[in-house]
Amino acid sequence: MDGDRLRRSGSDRVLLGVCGGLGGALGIDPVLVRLGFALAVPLGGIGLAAYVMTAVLMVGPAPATPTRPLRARAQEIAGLALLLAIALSALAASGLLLPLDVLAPSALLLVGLGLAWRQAATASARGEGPGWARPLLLDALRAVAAIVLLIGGAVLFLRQGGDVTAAAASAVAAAVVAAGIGLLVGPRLRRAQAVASAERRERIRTEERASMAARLHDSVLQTLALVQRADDARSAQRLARRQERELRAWLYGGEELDAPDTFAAALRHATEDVETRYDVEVELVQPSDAPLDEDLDALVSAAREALTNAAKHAGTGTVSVLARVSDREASVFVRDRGRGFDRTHVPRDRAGVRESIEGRMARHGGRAQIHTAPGEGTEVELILPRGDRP
Amino acid sequence: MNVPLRRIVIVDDHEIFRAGLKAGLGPTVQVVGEAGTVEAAVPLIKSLDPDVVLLDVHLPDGGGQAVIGPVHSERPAVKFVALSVSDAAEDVVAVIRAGARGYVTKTISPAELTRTIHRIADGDAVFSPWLAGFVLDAFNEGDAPTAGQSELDQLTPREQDVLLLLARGYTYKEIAARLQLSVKTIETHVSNVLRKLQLSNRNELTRWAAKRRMV
Repeated sequence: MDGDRLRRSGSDRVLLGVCGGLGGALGIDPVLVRLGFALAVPLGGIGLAAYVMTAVLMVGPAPATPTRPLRARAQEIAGLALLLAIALSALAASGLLLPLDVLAPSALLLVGLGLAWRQAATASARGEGPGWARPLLLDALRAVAAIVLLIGGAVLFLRQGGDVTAAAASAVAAAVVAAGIGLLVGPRLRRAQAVASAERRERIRTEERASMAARLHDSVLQTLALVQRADDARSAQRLARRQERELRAWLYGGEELDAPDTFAAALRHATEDVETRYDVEVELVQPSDAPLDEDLDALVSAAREALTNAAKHAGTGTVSVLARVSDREASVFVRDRGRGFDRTHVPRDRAGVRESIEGRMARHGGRAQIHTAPGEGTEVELILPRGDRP
Repeated sequence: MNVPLRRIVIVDDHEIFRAGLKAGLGPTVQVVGEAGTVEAAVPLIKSLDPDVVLLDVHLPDGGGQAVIGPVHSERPAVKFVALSVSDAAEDVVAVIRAGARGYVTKTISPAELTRTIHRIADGDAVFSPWLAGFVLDAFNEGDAPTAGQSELDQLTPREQDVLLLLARGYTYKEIAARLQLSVKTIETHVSNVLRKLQLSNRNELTRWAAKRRMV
């Protein structure tokens, strides 16, 4: 929000940094701005009043910027004051300057109005960000100052005018001006704020939509394209199944499939891989989960081997897998209703069972049991005790 | 084979899904009514008095359990099967605890669904492998049995055996063969587990369901 508000300049300042700030914001050389103010001074002193009012309206210099030390600009200030004094006395002598009794109350009123306006602006900009407790005192002081100045200006007017009707008229005029400013600025401020928050909401929504679109494109749309080109119902089904799991894991789990860090995620990952590779359907049941460690990782690898065997040799389209894990024990059951085999006649190329499944389980303190007989299907039981680990 | 005709009602807020279900069911199942909302389903089921209601777990305005309660009090013979695209364990367990006799996923094959409807109509409980696995874990979780727990809060060793085999993908017949029991006995065990799941006050059941989802 700082970008939207006018700041007095800390570095490019002679008096209060008003001209430096204005020049910076408008893209004009501050010297020209100073000249403009100086020229407006002789016009009945308006330049002075306008300078003070602007100074009140602008926010102080940004906290980070270094302030130009007073000593460095003392000369400029002195010169300026001298010039002003000469100009003012010359003007007063020639009768061009407004009498002080008119100028003073007007200046008071202007500055009071400025303070009140700024007060309203900061109050409406409130509500975002913490730490609004501190400026509360400052705000109160500013409000009091605004009221005092306004009343003071009005009283001065009344005092020297003496004429009640004239005073009333100028009071009404001042009220009309204030109301005009309020009407002009209030709705615009509110609208700007509404637009800003709507834009913020819209931006968040757009970002969300973009990331979801990217995700859906990478997954669902790609799969749909593959499904359209799949020539048989089975492979289409397999693709759809895999996509369904992936989408669901993303929607409800928030887990990344590429980097499984839990037992259940790793096993699902392995399952999907086997499903795609060997064209089988795996009915995976895993009610419990645990963070993946070295032993569980070995269990997943053994289970993947058992799944691969079932997919390659069982000759059925489906495999059932149950995986359970608790603090005491983890177990995986891989079951198919396929042709089964006779373990005494295991051919050489299926030594994978001995090494990848039984050997691996044994190395991690677990065991594997294989129940099978020709024509009876196969079930591999993998048990991994977890209780007495160091 | 003389299979009786079963009258069923489908409650699901997706019309296309209802149409798909209807098309796949065999000649032994007659769809007598359909509803898409809780509001429409309750009076419809009460007036039609079907054998079985296929009930979507995710219905707007209260979910499937909102249908079971009001119907149960008036028509206790109507049996419910929970159908779900399988995501939140909490929802499925809520519908079963409200009185559904079983749970199947929406990816079930039409032939399997037809068989399920007949089994439910015959009074069986139907557990998918998923549900069996989750129930097993829910009852096992936490501490050993304490004195305060009723019989409803514990599964017998036999029931655990049956559930474990169900979760491993065995059919009732295969379980019966493996445990050397009759199919009827297996059915009784599963019905008992369903009763415990519905009536148990075990805290773990709700807590367990709340933090899990099915995949």
